[in-house]
Amino acid sequence: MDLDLTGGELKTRSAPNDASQILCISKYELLNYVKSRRFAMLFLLTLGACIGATCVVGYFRPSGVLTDPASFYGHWLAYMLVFIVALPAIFLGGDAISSEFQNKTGYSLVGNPIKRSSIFAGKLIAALIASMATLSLFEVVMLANASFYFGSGAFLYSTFWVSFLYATFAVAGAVGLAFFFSSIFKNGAYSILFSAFLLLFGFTLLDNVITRLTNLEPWFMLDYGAQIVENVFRSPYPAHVQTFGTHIFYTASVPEGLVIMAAYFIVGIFVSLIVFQRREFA
Amino acid sequence: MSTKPSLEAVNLSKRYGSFTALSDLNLKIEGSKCVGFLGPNGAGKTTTLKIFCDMIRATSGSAYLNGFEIREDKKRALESCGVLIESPEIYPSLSAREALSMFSEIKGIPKPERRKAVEDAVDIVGMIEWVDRRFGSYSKGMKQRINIAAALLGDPSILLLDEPTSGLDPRGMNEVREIVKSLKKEQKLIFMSSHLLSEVQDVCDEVVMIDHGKLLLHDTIEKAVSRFSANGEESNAVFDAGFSRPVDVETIRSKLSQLGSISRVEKIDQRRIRVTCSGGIKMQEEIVSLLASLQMGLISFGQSSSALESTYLNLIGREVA
Repeated sequence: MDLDLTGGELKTRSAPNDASQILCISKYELLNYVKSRRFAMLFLLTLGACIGATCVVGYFRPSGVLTDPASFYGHWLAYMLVFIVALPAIFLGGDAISSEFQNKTGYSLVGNPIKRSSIFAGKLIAALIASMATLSLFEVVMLANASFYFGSGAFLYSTFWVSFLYATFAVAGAVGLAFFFSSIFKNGAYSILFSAFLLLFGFTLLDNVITRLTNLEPWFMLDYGAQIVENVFRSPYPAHVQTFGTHIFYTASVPEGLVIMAAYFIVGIFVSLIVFQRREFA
Repeated sequence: MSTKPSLEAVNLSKRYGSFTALSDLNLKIEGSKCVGFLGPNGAGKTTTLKIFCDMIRATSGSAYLNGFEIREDKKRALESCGVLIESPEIYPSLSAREALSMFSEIKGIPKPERRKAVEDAVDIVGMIEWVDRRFGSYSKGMKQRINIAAALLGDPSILLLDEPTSGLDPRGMNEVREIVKSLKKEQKLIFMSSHLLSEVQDVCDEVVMIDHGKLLLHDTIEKAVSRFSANGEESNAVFDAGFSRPVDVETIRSKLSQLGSISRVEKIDQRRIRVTCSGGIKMQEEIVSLLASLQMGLISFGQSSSALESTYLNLIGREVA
């Protein structure tokens, strides 16, 4: 039964294009990060780890580490890379999607003239930028240490920049994985827990178990692919397969490592985007 | 396409497994007015509103806002809409100003106008002093006010409000009602769900009632009340009359009974009576004239606040039976 009431001419204002809206979401998501305690804690943890490593190397002056820039970077990354790649992904991506449902922040966003895919893309870009900022802090401290011990040559050492590029792939892969978990869990605590477990311990554990028990190449493990970030400093680059007695050890080649990390990013983001577009705010 | 704000549901259904939340809802509302959306818990009110703003997906059917189907063209459908569903949260580290600036930008409010648009909206809800504080530090009521301000941004032609007074103290509830009343003058279509029947009767022009996901009624409040009276007899209406001094209800009853269409006269308290009658506006005029002529100090006469409640219970009761 319709009623015929008059009045109320329709006023229209066009919403901006998708790209502008994505940038808008990124901008305010980043602002939210910067003003949040969580991001401050992430930055302090990263800074603390870097200062700790600086003090240890400065005090003990391990000869194996201070041989040359390549050895220095390789060792520094070997001890800290997992930590540096995992932390921003856990802190920023761990509940990126689940919190929109659990904390009801999505209710205030989705009812606007903006596609869900634009909200997702904006959040992803913000998480990547914030993660890269954390990675950059780590790399800057590493570079500063290297330049202290090896002079300006540390800056000119091109492999450092190649490794930095690979590290961004590793961070992107970790963020992709964290987004994946944050989309499949409705509870942010679970998604953060799963991301943290896998990125900090799980992959290393599974990697060892699978390789030792089955002698299979763990090509499906993010940390296996991320080895290239530190291996690129080794000369010559380690052989793909090395046998010690009955054990076989695999090393990811650079292309293989890049593909693995890219796959984690692409698959993780693709799945989480599909879930975010389809999940209901019920 | 219509130039008036419009909202339309066409065979809208939503099922969760074997549970049907919404069943073939057909509803068309057009023009500037305020429409109350009533129904018991689980009736499908929030489900309907969520479908209209893309929070959930209809199992079948279509939902149109200003002529645009929400799934097919969400941006166009919502670009002249303000939405408030289920007391949402805003990023806790952002201030209200920052959060509302974000929504303004998403809605396409030009940058030079954005600051004023935000401050105007916040001013309407009485939060201008708090606009630069973190959203996370607000009380529930303050958050709801900011959420209302967010819905008002950009001067939308349609407002979809899901229990907008939820979480507010009595003063806040009253203020929100006044805001909604003032918005009615601004050529907007306001579709507002509520549990508070008195609120709907006070604020709205029309009422939509649903239960078990089915449309029971869509009409003006006056017609809805007169069609379904408290005793179930159609075409009866209930009015409350107030006096400045204590009155003798028997005297009034005997006088009013002369009008013929009066079915009941009850005493509410010493200064108020309730009259149940039929006959529409003409009969109301006659009742008011007669009560005034008695010189008992008549100071108010209007539709009973319990009238809509009676209609509601009557309809819901019928549905349950």
